[in-house]
Amino acid sequence: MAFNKNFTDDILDSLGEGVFTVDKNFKIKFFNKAAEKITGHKRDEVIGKFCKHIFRSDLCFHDCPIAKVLQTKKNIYDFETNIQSKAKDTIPIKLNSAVLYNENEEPVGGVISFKDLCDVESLKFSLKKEADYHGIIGRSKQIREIFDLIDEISDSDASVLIHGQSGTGKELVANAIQKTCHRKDKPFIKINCSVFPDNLLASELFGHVKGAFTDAVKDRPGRFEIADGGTIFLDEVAEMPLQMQVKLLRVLQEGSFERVGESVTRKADVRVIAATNIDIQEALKNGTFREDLYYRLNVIPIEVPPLSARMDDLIPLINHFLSKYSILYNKEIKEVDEETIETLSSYDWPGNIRELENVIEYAFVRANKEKSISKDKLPLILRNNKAKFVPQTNFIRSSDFDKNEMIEILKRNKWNKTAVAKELGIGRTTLWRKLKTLGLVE
Amino acid sequence: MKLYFTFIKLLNSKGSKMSEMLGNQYFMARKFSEAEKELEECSISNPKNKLIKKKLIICYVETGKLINAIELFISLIREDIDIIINTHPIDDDCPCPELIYNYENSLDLNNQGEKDLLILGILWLYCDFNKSMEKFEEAVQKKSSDIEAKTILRIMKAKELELKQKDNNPYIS
Repeated sequence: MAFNKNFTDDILDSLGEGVFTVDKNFKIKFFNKAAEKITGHKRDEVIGKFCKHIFRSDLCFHDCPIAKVLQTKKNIYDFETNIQSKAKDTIPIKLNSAVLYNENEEPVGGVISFKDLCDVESLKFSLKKEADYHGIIGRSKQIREIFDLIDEISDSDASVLIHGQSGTGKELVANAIQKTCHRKDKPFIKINCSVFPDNLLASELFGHVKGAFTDAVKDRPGRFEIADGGTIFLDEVAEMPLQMQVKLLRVLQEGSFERVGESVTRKADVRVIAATNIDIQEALKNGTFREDLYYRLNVIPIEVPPLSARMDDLIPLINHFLSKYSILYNKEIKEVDEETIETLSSYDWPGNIRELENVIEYAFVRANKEKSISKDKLPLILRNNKAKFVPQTNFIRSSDFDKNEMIEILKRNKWNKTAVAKELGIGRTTLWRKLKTLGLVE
Repeated sequence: MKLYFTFIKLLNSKGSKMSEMLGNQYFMARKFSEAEKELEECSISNPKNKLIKKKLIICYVETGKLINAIELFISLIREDIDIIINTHPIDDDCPCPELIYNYENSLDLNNQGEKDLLILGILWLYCDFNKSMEKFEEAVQKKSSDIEAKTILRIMKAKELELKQKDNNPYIS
């Protein structure tokens, strides 16, 4: 199919990138609409003029991109430089450059396409602002609700219980709470309650004195003492033995504890953030998680949704991990092809974001010369996956219920917020915010 | 757009004559030595291209090859003096006004040698016919035996006469 000149001009005018061509004397022959927009020059003003007089870049004198192509016989891609706009503002651009040949293979001109990096940078900034909240990647409605909640509780010292499946990023939420709260400059101590044997957990949390047990060769402060004035993050809190749960409850209620092997009562001002991935209702029912401790911790509940419920965040998360592993593996892989995206979107992600990260790293290791990740580089379980993803859209608007209606629902469910959330088809985080808006919680 | 650039890349991989365009760029960037190499090569393969010669003369002047410059200058003004006289300083991106300014500032105006006068005569022809004539006349006065200067002056006087015969001519006062 042969295009006439007007047709070609229309095509070039439709591009978002600035495009201009020069003849062999470097006089501008074509200047598209995007180039007009970026530079501020009108097409009629620049046609027939030397490109160096229009762009006024140092590059014109020292490193002309078209001259480079003439010298090296290799096109230039993504070269970053500055040009001057008509208003004499400096515009950072990224350009591609090539030489145009006639039928005798003689160079008769050049073409340069360029992007305004101001736009790209501002887009990057806004995406980052939107997608990266103190290390949490995402811009889905569900995740933005959590961001809002974290902002809202930044002045509070109330305990927080983060619930979510394994790999959903509960620790990142805890980090974000700590970074935004008024204790952010104070100690932030983390402990995974499930990794310590029963007898050692007490020592880890509250400390011990010399001779308290065989290996206690000297006095040692516990995590609560170290965290005094700051925050402690108790991961896998529901895995804690019942005996320890009682001691923890006392710290939460009174702020006091004793080191193992000591009778002196110590005090510490510590804000507690706890997390668990277990089915809390089941654990309460089975008696493996004390109800009084649960209510003491669950002042501010945060439900971190599984990845399958926030698939809007899939692309930002993929991009984040691509950037991360590009640096770690020193590979220039910046994208995932469409078929791979489709495959990743169709998967249920039982291991959540941690599984996604592992998949991206796996594909990264396997991709050697490619610039993008293709489906054949994914683990077999994804390549063979046929499931179709159905997005979850459960949410309520703040105007959906008034206070009286909400009280009715709460009464009907005996003020069990999990049951209310279930009835309304919303997360407990959303419910908590709703109750806060209605003045039903402090 | 990527596909388009890939197509261009394929073309680039073929052997091609690129000296004129690259020479033009060097000339535009005032890299006269590099421009000279490219344009010289191109002039050999394309001896009828007067625009290349016009630039090459300036390159020779700037790289100190005055004999080459004068030889090519005489050849070009014999063939088509208008191609130099009609030079527009901006539209043709002519470096001569700047070169003359720099050259005259570096010289003792009351004591210009024959070589200096020849250089200025050549450069001035791109900007001002009368100024150029003055310089070549001075050069002949300095060294009456200089055949090249006399030849140039003879061609220019013939042109002056031709121009004087025309009404409202823009070059001759």
